[in-house]
Amino acid sequence: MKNLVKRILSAVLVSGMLLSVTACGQPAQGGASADAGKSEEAFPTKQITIIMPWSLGGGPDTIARQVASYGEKYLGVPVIVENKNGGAGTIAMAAALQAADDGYSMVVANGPLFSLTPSFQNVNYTLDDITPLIGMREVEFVVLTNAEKSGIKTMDDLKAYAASGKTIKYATTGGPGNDSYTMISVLFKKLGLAAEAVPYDGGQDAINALVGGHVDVAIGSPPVYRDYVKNGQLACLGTFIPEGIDVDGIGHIPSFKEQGIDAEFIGMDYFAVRSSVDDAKKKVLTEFIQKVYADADFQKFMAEMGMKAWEGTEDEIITKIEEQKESMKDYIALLK
Amino acid sequence: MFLSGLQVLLQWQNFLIIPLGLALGIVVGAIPGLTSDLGIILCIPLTYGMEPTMAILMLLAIYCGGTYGGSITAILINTPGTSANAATLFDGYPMTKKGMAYKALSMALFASTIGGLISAFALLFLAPQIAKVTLLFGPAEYLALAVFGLSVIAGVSNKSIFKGLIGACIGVFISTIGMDGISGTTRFTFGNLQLMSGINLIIALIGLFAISEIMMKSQYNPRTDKKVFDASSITKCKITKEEYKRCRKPIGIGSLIGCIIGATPGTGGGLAAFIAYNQVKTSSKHPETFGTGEIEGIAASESANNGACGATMIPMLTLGVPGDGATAILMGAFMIHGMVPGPMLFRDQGNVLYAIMIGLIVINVFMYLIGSVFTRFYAHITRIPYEILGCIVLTFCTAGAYSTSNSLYDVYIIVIVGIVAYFLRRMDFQLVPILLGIVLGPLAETNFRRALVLSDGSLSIFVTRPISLAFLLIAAGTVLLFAWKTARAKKISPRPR
Amino acid sequence: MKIKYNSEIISGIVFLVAAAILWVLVPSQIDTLETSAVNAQTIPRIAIGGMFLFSLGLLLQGVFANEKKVVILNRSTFASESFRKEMRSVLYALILLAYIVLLTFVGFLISTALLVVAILLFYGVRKWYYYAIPLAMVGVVYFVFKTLLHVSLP
Repeated sequence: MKNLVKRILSAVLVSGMLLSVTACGQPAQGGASADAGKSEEAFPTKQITIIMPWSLGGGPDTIARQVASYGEKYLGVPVIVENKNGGAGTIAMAAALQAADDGYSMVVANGPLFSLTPSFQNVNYTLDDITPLIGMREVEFVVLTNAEKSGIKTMDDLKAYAASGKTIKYATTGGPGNDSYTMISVLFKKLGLAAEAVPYDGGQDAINALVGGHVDVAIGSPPVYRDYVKNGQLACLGTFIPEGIDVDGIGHIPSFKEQGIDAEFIGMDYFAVRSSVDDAKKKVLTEFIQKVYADADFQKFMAEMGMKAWEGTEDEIITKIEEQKESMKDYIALLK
Repeated sequence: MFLSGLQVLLQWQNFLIIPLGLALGIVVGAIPGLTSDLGIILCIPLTYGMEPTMAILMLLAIYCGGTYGGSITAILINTPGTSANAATLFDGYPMTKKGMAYKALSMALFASTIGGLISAFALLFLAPQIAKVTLLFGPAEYLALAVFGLSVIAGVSNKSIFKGLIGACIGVFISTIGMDGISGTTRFTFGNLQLMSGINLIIALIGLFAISEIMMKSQYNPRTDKKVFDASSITKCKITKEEYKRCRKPIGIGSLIGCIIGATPGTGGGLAAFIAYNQVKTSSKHPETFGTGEIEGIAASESANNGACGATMIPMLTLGVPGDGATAILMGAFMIHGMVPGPMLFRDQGNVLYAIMIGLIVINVFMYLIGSVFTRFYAHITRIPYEILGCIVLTFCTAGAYSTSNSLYDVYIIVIVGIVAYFLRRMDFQLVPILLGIVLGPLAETNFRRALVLSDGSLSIFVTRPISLAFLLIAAGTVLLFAWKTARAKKISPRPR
Repeated sequence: MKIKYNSEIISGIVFLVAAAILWVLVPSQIDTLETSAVNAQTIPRIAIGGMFLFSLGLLLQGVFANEKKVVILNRSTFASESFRKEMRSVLYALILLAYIVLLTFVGFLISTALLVVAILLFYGVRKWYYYAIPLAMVGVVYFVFKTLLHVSLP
């Protein structure tokens, strides 16, 4: 008999240990907060996932994670960010459209997913499949070089480098159909320089390739490149924002337009859900993000990172995407 | 900086949260289908309200505990709890079959702790220097590293090199299924949306090892094949002094390789364990005992995977590039707590970082203490009749597979992969080359493609860069040395088992 | 009928055929818009091509080098001990396949409970508590996943 008891004991050991840790899972459940449960059915009652098409540590990921950390405060449920990198964001889009339309899955999207990617890949989604909830940020792409390793510091250096017969190798944050890939490729086409793209896995990865001296040029967006420019390791050639940008600690970064190259692009990232999600739920989620944007701590965090949240509305976002579709047509024609 | 870090660390809450995290980590690590990744994801929301130091220490404890915990299932039921523990199978399970489970578990714990400690010290003292070396790694170096990893196949498929190579090809092929990260092209999805995101590593792992192991036992007959281990004798089989002495070298090699591979982004503990196991086996005076329950094998692989734990934090903290899947999630946790990894992190948040790095040493000490308690209990799992154990493992596998992406699809995949893997095992194939192919395939592919763009299509890039050339030479050397040793062993004893 | 075989011949043929089929499928399954020499098809082609060559090597090794088992196919083969053992594995695989079909329709609790009973019957277990423990575990796992991991199993 003693033997039997021991045997049962060891068999349920694993389960016993799991049970003992359930205690630490409890607080996460602790009921939806008051302001979330007003619609007919209480929403949300469980964890919400934000599907993130781009890699960890990049600009949009940093913001999304910061927003997610306010889940308990404003929604009463945990919000987590899940990175589904690759395929220029289409892998995440596929995942978002496969997820249930119960409002528990949000996705971060951008304009190029609709204005650009379909020209390079066979995609299986359209703008009608999702509803943008609220903007996240405007994307300010900057083109950078590693002065120490390649000796390129200005546009003229770049041209001289190419004139010496070398093919410029530039790191992008994704493959064909990705916005950074397209814009920097357009830049080199317009400059008429021989150059070839090396797709990396996200902004951080691309910048590291540049810092390590594996590529000559890289494209980046805040905040990944900021520290490296500040400490002098990397140099900025310019930005695609037509009026240039002013970055805290770096100063004015001139636009390519100012430098006489016709390549402009204002990207944007935004939060979205599947369009079949209930309208009341969409509203709850939109209000949640608005509250986070208004939070003083959040604003402080963003300021420290040198970023700014962008509160674009659904209509604004849709209009921008439509405009972008038009302007991209010329660029795409240039690359094909 | 160091002292103020110590001050931040020395709060009683921190010493309470570490054992809790470790216990949770060991449990999730030990259950097939649950990994430390999942444990960390689950607990991130719980850490929102905590101090940054306490939060990160808890998650790190789960990470370290999970990497050790995976060895328990590898040793006891021939199924690695996480991919980092796959190399522990080779000698862990044979030891269990000989009734030496307790000894194997104790060695896994001891080696894990030493590896973890060495790694923690490397993080504390050498992080900036190691980060500089990591930056030297371009596409060519990563490809060479992947090739080096694949060279392990020669060592683990000693019966038939062709079978090992076919296995690796199967693995690489499986890793290409889904959407290609570089061009966005779908590959071998047969129009199936579920296959777009590819076959998850952990799902493949459950199918390959756990399900096929259960299938292997289908010919087991409870009445005739049953082995009864006496309850009191189980924990008696302790590691002898001589064995501790013998394992010094394997643990040293394992920890060192763990640190080096761990600090290289995109690799992780699994690769470190295989390379360490292979190096120890090749350099051993008695390579033939490896794979039959050699305690040095466990020492090598377990010290290497935990040796990678601290080192994976180096590229993450200094460059913002996570070393493996779990550190990628950890990096998310750092960011939530206002610490954005990168070159400025050490300057801006030095005291918290030092608290965390010293805390990692504390975690490893605690791991040894908690692990010793667990080990006693876990050793008794060998006494559960297989009929029952098989059912329990199957239940966990299904639930675990489902939970990785809340989809029945993954359950279908584990069963199908499991049945195919069973067929392969009956045909005397080793499963490890397949696993290596799955793990290293993506690393090799993306970097191969990048490197060829950088070199304008010339393959010479792989041999003109010194680090890359060195890796390739070591890989070739390992294979040749191994071939020579096997050939010699065959000459001495014309009929090897 | 007399058949000579070994594991090298069988697996060599299986993978030779599998690799050939996959190779043919590459252009239709990997429809890349890239124009470069090294593209999304390259590595799959290397893997599949490698599989083909190594299986060929394995097959040759099996035919010429290694010793073979000889099986004489007649009525007694099907009654033999080893054949019965093989059939047990096939039965086990069928149980698993039936389980995933069942899982799709009736959910985790019922189908896994049935699976556990089926496996224990398969092993010819008689003692009642041998059934009780794994069945209780099914319930525990279901509960733990639901409350702790926030995963509602189907």
